Amino acid sequence: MITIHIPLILRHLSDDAETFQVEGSTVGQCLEELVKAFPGMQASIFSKKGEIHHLIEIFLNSKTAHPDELRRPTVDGDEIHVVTLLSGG
Amino acid sequence: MSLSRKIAFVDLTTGKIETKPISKELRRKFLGGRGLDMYLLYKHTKPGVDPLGPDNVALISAGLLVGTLASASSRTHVGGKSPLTGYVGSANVGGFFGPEMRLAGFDHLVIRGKAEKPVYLYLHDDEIEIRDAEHLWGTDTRDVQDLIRQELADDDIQSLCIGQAGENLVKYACIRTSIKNAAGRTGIGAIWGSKNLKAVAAKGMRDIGIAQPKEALAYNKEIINQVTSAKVSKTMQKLGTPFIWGVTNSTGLVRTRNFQLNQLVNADDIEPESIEEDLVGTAGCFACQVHCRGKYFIKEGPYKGTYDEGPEYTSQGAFGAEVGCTSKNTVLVCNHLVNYYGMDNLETGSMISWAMELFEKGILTLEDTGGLDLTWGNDETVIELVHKIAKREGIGDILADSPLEAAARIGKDSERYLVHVKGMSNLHSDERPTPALALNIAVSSRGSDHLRGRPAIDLYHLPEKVLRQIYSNPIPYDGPLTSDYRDYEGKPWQVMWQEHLYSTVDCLGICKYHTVFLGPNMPAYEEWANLIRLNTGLELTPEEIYRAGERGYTLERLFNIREGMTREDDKLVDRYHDEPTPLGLPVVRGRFIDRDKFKIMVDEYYAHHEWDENGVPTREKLEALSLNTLDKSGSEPSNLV
Repeated sequence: MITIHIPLILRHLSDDAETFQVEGSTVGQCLEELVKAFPGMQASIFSKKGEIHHLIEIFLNSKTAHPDELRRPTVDGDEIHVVTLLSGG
Repeated sequence: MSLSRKIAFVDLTTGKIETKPISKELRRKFLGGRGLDMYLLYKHTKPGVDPLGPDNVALISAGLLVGTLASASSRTHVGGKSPLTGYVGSANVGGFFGPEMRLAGFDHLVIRGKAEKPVYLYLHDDEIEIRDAEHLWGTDTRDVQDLIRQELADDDIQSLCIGQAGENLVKYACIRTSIKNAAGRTGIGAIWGSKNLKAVAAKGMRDIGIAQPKEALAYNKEIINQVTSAKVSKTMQKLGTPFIWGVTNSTGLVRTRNFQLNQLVNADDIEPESIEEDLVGTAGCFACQVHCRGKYFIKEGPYKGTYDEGPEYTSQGAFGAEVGCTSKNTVLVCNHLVNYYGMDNLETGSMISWAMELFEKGILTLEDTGGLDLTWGNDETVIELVHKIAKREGIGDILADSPLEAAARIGKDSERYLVHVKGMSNLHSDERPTPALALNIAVSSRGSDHLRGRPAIDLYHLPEKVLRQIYSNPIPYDGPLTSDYRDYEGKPWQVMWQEHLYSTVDCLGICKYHTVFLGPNMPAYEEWANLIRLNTGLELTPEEIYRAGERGYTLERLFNIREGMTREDDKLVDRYHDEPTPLGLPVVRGRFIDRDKFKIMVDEYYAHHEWDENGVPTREKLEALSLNTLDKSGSEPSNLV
């Protein structure tokens, strides 16, 4: 299983779940599983073109997955962090 | 070589100009830019100096790497004792002036006295001319730069200048260069106005003298790749800083209607995607690839066809949410006007929104405002007030003073509605749900401010392993750290660490958008050590660079203490503690800053700094930073210049 960490500002869309377990062989597949479970997250995580939203950065095992984040391979035990570019400047 | 640039001391009363070299020891201690600027402020002013008197200084300081083969090395610092707060006056600006000043042979200017008539300085070929500026007095910030270029018959001249706001001693007048680059905060423009100093122009032909040019160029390519490949840089290139406002507002972290709400609703017209529709391109500063500054023409109304640059996210806050306006045109027009007159957009918007709340409460009436209707969201009134403040007309004369002075003039308990720290207004963000950001503004050396110590990435919800990598470099740290921005734990360390980091890049002259301010994968101390070595020949370890930033920040603290600041000044206004946030996402709604936990954060913050319980740096800390030559009067941090 792969663990997806959900950021605070999206938790109202995940029934307050902090993490979500999925199976998938790429980051893209894992995130698709996430939005299947929580459809409200679709517009926050993906752009209309199906790319990662410009305000979201994906970290795979604590390293940025940008660019080509959706095609990054994943294996059992991996951790995905959905990071929001909310700098609050 | 690049380290041979000098400090020039200019006395506008006598016309005397003296130059001195900068010792390598001073370089190692303070680097340049903001650090040396602070050293010069401490050394060349007496305690209690009148900010608008001839004995205050107007400082200009190029960062150590300005004009070199280091990416985004454009930043220049300006300083003096602030007429806004009475404490540290200090602001940083990009553009192209700093490199030109260094090419002309100067790194730092210490300007004192008062000219009998308006003047400007012209720096070139290791010389400084004091030139007549009577014909320039009364011009806006754009015209004055053009007129100087025409007068000197050189289109390449770069200038720092003030507009009418600085001439009229608006307490938050700022220093400008190019179309919109601003050294915005703490009212340095009023200091220049008090000295009859309209501008400082520079044109240089001297070689910067890069220590290892080929290696520096090659290494800088790596830095450019590092910065431009970061996800956040691509977003910034597309939308500029307005992207920050958009997501911040949708979360519920934007102070609205002064401080009554924490989100502007029905704000589609000023969302970043809407502003992007009006942009005709983007612009950047010297040696920067990010190009975060939008270029636009105003499309409607009396200002239709006017060109300007921006708006920064702070203008969306100042002339949108704070004053309750949802019109893009109002944001773009007001952004233009503060650029034109030379005023701090944050302070301007804050003062207008404060006046609007006073109007709502009946503390200000139509009689007080000269008939202006200060109802929330009144676009025409907001635009008119910007004019009136710059010209000190009517109610604008009161609002042109510092927040605390204005409150004293109005009376009637008006001070309780000010949203400020140390007499400087907050920017547009609402920090009630975010203890780290609240601590940052409360303890900031120049008053409420996001550019002194804001751990902006605290809101990213980064993996804690990433946070620890960032905040344990170059000084080990194994205390608590949490990526939950609602938490109080570990935040004091983050704030202190960010204070030293921002101080450091301001000493180097590197833009903060090339740092962890924007994201986790940006250059830091290791990279800066390499850039310093390759460009200047100075060998400094990452820790020595960190300590230089800390030294400058500590000196700011000492200056403030010298001018009367106490622990009582490191606080938030009561509304942060007493009024929970009413709007926003569930994770930010109903939040406020707990008084007891806030006090503990301040205690921990002092302890991390090695300051005592009153916020005074300990003798041991001063010795560790080689700042221990303070004499009993506190007038002399060292004897290096």
